[in-house]
Amino acid sequence: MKSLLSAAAAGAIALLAATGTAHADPEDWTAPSTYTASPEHFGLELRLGIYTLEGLGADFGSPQYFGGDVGPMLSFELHYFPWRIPYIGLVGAGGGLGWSQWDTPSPGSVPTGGEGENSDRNVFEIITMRPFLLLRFDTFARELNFPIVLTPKIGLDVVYWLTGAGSTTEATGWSIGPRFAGKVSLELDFLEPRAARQLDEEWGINHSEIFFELYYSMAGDLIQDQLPVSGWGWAAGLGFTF
Amino acid sequence: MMRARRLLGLARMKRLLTGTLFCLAALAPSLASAQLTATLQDFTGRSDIPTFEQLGMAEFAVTAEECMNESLDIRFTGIDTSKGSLIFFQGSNCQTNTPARGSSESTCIPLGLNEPTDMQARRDVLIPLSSLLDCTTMDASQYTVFALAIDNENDMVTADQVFSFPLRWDFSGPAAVSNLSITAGEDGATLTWDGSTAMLREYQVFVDPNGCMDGMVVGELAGDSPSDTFIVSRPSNTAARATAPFPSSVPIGGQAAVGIRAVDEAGNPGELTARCVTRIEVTTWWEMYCGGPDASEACSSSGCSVQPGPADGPFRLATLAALGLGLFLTLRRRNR
Repeated sequence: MKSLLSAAAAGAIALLAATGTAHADPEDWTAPSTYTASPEHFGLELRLGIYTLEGLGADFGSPQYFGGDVGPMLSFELHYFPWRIPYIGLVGAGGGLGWSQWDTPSPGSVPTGGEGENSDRNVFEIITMRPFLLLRFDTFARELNFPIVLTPKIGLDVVYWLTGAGSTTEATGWSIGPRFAGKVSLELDFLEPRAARQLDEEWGINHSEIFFELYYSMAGDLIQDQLPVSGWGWAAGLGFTF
Repeated sequence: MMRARRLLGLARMKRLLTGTLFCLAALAPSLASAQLTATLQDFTGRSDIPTFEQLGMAEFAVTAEECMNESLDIRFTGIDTSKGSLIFFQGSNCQTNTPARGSSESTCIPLGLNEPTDMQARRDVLIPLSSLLDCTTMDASQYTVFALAIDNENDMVTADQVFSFPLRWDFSGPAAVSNLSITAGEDGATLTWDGSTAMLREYQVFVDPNGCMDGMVVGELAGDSPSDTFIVSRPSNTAARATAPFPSSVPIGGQAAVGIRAVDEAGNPGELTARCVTRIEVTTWWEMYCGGPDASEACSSSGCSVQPGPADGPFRLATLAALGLGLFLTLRRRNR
């Protein structure tokens, strides 16, 4: 009898224990972490393009001078977006730096005679500094999941220019004027959404994109004693917002 | 009694061992004699002393004039102080035949130098080039010089008291400059070439206003030995660029012969490369623009004047970029 009671007690304890392990505790549930995008306040653009100087006349781009050289224009831009307008996009200001140089081996004449003979190189060089305002219109990307962002920019082009021949500088100066630009960007997040999210979580980079921009500069056109280094240009490159 | 004798024996043994050790210690330096070595200290007549500190490591460029008048100052160290003098040979196997001062070994020619060591372990010896070289034939072949520290009494020499080094003399000048490009301008020509790794004294740039006829180099620059009067500049041995101003006698469109050659460290001139170069009128874009009907007022405000100075745009751009980056980082930190 005693042994029967002992066996029954042991069985009851075992049953209780088994019931305890099989039963889930509703208080012991941890919610999986949800992804929240990091603040998006900055933009960076690495740009390569061509700037066509129009204000300096047709001779500048003639084969006799700089017609055989495309530049190119190397530049970068930094953007700061303090505000976001709901359903419209980011509003901010930015600054950029660019450099381009054109040169020609035979300024104004064709050398004759002598093997390996050529003449002094003639150089025209510009460094552009530009503050501007911009609107990053990302409604398509944010609201419609269509990864296109449009960005108009308006600002001031401050151009330092320099020209010379050989190792001497002939003239230098500054030209200032308004600058207008329009940029189309393709956000690359859709290619690898997981990697894009990881990039944001680990580095704070919200979006990466490739872009194409067209711009027009009126540097030197409006102020009379400045060299008119105005012209059209385009730039393409890689951009990030973070 | 027995114990006293044993103690006395032990004491004697101890004294004997100590004495032996002292003798060995005293003898040790003379037993382990040093190896005879030599280094070049000076090449007389040269303002720029040796680029070759290790004897035998390089070819010595030398002129015929130096061969007659100059000497090598060689420092010998590690001489056995028991040896009486240093003697010199050139040839081969001079270390094996225990060469006496009048060696009969045909492959081993005495240089006729006998330097007493005066019981010194170090000795500076001035060896005239004329004793190392046949200055009349200017033989450029390589041979080996042997220096032997010998015992005056029996002319004996030990293996560690022999030092030998190969010598190769070069009486010819350096090769012609490579990849020469001559850039003509209005005031002169700019020459660029590949810098040489050979040991050079300088380059010499020549201009002969009458050295061209029908596009061909004529006159002295057409030969190998132009007169020094045609030299217009002497770029340094590390240069790879030079300018040659056109004489005023060369009109725009006229030609002058422009040449360049390298000179080795001894002064031997190398092969001359000369070309006919046309003096051209250079109208820079700025001159053309400012002289044209569409010239901006910037032409007068910028002066249209030549301001010497290199174009350093990339440097300025980098400075501005650094400033921009600094501003950006400051903004970002504040935003956080």
